[in-house]
Amino acid sequence: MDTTQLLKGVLDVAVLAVVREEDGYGYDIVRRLRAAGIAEIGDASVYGTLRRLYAAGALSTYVVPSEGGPNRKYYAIKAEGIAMFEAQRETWNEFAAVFSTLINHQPAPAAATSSNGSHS
Amino acid sequence: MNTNHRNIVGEFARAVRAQLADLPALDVEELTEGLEADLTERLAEDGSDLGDPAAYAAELRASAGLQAKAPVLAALSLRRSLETKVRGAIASLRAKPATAALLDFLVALRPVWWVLRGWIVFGLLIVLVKQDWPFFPRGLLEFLLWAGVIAVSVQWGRGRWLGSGRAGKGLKYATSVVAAVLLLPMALVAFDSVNRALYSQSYDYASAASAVSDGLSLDGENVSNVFAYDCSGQPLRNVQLFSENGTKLSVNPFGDGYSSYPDKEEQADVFGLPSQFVAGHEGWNVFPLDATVQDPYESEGADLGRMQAPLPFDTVQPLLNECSPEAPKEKEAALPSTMPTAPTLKPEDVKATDVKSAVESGATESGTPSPSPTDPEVEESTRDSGTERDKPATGSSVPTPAPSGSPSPSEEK
Repeated sequence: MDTTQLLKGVLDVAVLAVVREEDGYGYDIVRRLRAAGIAEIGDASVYGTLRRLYAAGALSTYVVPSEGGPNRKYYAIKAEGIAMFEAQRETWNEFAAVFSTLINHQPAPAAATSSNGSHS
Repeated sequence: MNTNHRNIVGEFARAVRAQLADLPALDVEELTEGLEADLTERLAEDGSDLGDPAAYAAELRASAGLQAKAPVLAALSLRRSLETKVRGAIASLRAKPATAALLDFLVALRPVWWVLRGWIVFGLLIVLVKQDWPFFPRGLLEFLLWAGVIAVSVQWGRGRWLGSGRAGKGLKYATSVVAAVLLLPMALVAFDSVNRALYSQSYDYASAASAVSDGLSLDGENVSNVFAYDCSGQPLRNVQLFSENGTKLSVNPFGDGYSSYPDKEEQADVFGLPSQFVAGHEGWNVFPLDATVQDPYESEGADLGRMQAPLPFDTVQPLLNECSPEAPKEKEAALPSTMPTAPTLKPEDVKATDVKSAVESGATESGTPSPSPTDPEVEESTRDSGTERDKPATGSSVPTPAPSGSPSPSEEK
């Protein structure tokens, strides 16, 4: 299964989780997401998500001048962001639990009927 | 290495911003603030390729949820879908042989449209500048403009001279739309003006032709006066001319106009006048016409300044020796038998006194070596005397009957 498709739905909560841990600038957040194991993530997707979360009022920004380079825009989580994260974490947990149960369940009787059918 | 990275990053960021150009400037600023720093860090970390800036921008857009916020993007995609629809329609037309032939025909006509487009722009420019409707260039400057505009239009059609990118294409589309809208009204006005020009031309032609056909003409040129010389080469006066079916050879058949012609001696135009011996100003076939330098239109018909028309030649070459002045009698004696058939003089028109005087003059002249009109004294006297001597001239003005009249009584006797 293509994980990038799955990522689209849960990128918000992942980014919120990373920023909640610690403020960060764009590429820093990308790096931390990748370090967490989300390898397929695109830079631009993260930056776009950051911007959307900021526009939705979940994040705030501040600019930090960097030594010998262009300014860095740091993102910090706001109270609204934390509330959003909690709600999405709950949704995800319920969703993941349902899907885990469904996917990991061993359908032994179903396999028997199908083998019966094929034998007859 | 570092400068190389900076160049790559700068180039990439610029390309991404260009891809987002349709968004509000604030959104672009928010989306791409810190972009250079992020890219530089990423390059420094793994040194990998940054990829396609367009795809990067699309990803930014999508993840930022900005698609709906970009109306221009929607318009773009609408245009794109329209284009694909048009392409689909053309492809379906191509599939059928009949419509494919029609399509090929229209494609072949495209250069005509290019020329028309240039021509319409030319017409529009002229209308705007001169408030006139000349659809054909008049003068060198207009011709250069005309040729230049058409050349540009044709080059545009061939996909050249468009300038860089969208501005040129936009100009081309705008021009095409304007030209297409103006095509019908311009064509109507153009046809109208051409028709009018043709009509006036044909009118001019007709009037010119009728001017030539009125009265006497020679090789298409009007004949304003006729000068007759007898067989001895001397000028004749008051010669009446008729055509083969008895029509008067009138210079001015309807008596409705005086024709003038330039005269060397008078250094001016002279006007021919109808013979004063014919009633009702109808003597336009009695030659040579008398002449006047006064404009007969202004003098309201009064024969002021009537004079004998200046001769083109005082005398011309005599015809052989048979017409020599020594032997006019016998030859002219034969004339009367042929003359009466021609309606030269109606007998009732000739008064007895006139005949008598004519006879007398003929008798007196018979002794002189040359005929009366050429006699320098007589010539001078008639010219000077004017109206007073014109009366007797009535009789003597007919030189042919005079000699012919003189032998006839003698024959009868």
